[in-house]
Amino acid sequence: MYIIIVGCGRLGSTLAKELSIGGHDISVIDHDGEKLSVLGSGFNGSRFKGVEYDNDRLLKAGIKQADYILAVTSDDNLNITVSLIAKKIYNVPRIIARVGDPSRKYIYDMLDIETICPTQLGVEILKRKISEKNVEVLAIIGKDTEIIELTVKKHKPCTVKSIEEKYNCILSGLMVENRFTFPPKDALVPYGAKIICTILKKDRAKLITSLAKETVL
Amino acid sequence: MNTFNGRFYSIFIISYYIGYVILGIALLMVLPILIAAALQEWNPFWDFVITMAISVILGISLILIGKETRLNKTMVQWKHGFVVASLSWIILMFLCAIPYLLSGHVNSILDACFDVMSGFTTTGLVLTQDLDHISLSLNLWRHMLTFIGGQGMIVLALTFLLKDTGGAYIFYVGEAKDIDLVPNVKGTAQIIWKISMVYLFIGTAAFWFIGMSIGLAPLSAFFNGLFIFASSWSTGGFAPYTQNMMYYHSFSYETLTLIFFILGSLNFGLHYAILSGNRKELVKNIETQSFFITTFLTSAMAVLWLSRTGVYADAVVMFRRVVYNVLSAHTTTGFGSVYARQFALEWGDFGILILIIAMLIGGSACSTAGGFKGLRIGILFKSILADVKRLLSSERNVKVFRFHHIKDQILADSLVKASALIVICYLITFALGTLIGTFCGYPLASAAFESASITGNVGLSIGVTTADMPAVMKIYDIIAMYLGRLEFLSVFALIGFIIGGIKKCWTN
Repeated sequence: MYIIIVGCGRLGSTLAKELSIGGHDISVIDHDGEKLSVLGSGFNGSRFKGVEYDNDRLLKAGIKQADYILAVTSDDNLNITVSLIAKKIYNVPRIIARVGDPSRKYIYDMLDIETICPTQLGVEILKRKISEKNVEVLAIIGKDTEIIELTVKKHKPCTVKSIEEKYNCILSGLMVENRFTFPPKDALVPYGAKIICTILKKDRAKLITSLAKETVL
Repeated sequence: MNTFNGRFYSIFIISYYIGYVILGIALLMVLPILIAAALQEWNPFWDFVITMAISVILGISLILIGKETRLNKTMVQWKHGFVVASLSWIILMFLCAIPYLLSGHVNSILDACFDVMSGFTTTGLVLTQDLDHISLSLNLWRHMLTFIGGQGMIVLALTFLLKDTGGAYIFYVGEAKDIDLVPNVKGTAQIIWKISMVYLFIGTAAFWFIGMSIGLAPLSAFFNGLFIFASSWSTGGFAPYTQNMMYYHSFSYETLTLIFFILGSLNFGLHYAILSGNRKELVKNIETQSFFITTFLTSAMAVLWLSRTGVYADAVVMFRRVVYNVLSAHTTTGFGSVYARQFALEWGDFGILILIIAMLIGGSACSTAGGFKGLRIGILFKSILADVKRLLSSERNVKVFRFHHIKDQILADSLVKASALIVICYLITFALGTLIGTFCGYPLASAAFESASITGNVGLSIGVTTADMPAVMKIYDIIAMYLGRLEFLSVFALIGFIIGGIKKCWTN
């Protein structure tokens, strides 16, 4: 895979290094030579110093044959410009941009650019860690479905089937003492086990209150 | 205690990757084994089976010793890369010498090692006895070694074996290659092989055809074509018979080798640029410019001199005997169309000197050729011009000098320094070789000629390199070929690493 990474900060450089070890063709562009040198002299890829949205620079970095462009500078204006050049002029198959300021995400959405927002992701994770004990959100699917990992703190064991029916969810994994199994329908979920389930957001609160909250007998 | 662990850790990393390189070469021995079986040459068949078994066992055990490296995903540092490159060349020299030794065509282990190193470094000097009656499979092996050595063993291992490419770039540079065709070195290595393979098919077919038209039997023409192609593309200079190029006695055959060794001496980056449609590169590139100028000057001077002395009668003979040899020397190929002693007896001091200069300059960087390389000559020449211009212009005038090699580059001081250092290293190696040669009793011109031929990985001989030359010269020649091919730095890194290791053990 030929990947161009625009911006060589913490995110860009780590990404570049790991992807190049994975055997991809990596070109990195940054205007700051010092940031590029973070990659180390043994970096297995090419690096280009210069203005990130400069046409010549992008051509040299191989935008014509690139499969991916990852615009991951901390500057939204730059990311948007680069993404638009890649999209409108060079038709790069896939463009992913980093959103620096979450409040500007709507601009990317309007321009139809695929985004990730590390800030927002970090915020979500930290928020959940604080607000909901014993629950980790593993993935968010669509608007209102989530895959969550939940530690059962209910002393009275109940079966997988009863949980699925009661809370309208699908249990896809059961971890008892760090051993992962695909649970059969009639398995019992003991105290302290972790369950991985796909659930609608509206049903989540109910599940958490009845299973994850420490109940006093 | 910490450093102690660190030291051994390095050894694991090195052993792991060397294991892979050895395994790669071991797998290639399948080819001569198959040929030997097909042609029912049972003695060489067993020779190769034994060698392959030894190599596979050694390779796998080295990988097993260092298997922690794979589990821990350690970072490969520059020293590891350099040591892997240089050490694997030495180990492979010994391994690949086994079939020579078992065939009984060499007088000693030293001679076998000399021949292998001469093959790997695309030099092309031969100590093997009775070349004309050697088995076909061993001949194939000799030419395979030049072909692989020309592109590089590490490049080979990178292409086919190594999955994770963490330290790939470092290994690649360690073997004196420095061109980036695509960002990932693994891709670059694959492109290098693809280019070579395409030429291999075209070249072998062309030689096969011409070989048959000059009267060789079809099978023999095929193998001769394959061998001569491998040898000219990798600017090696091995030929299947003792008489080298003169065996074929054919103008068309010589011309075809001429085309292929000039192609082989060009940078892989240049091949890639031209194959992907960038034709202008051929004219703009500093290396082709420098190569064209130096070849033109050396050929012209040699022709001028030899027409004055009147050794060769007409223009065609002049081309076949003089221009061919000068170009063969300049591209560091080493196909000779005159007998070795003719250089000493007919060419005169000036002729010999021209050849020495041509041999030292050599082909292009990142090709299969040796010598200083056209790139360095170009850079040094440009930097002299730049310095003179700087002297003549006012002090306030800030000037940036550029040169064109694949892309426009700035003539930085560090680049000039690096080029000059390598050129100086070559000159020292050349001077030392001449010194040893004269000490062993050879005339100055002959010693210098042979030393230049060795240092530049050329392979033309003036008659010094024979099986009964002193052992000290053979050893020095092996070292000089090895240094010249790997361009010094990796070997120095290896020496430094070993000394460092010994010191650590001593103090503990």
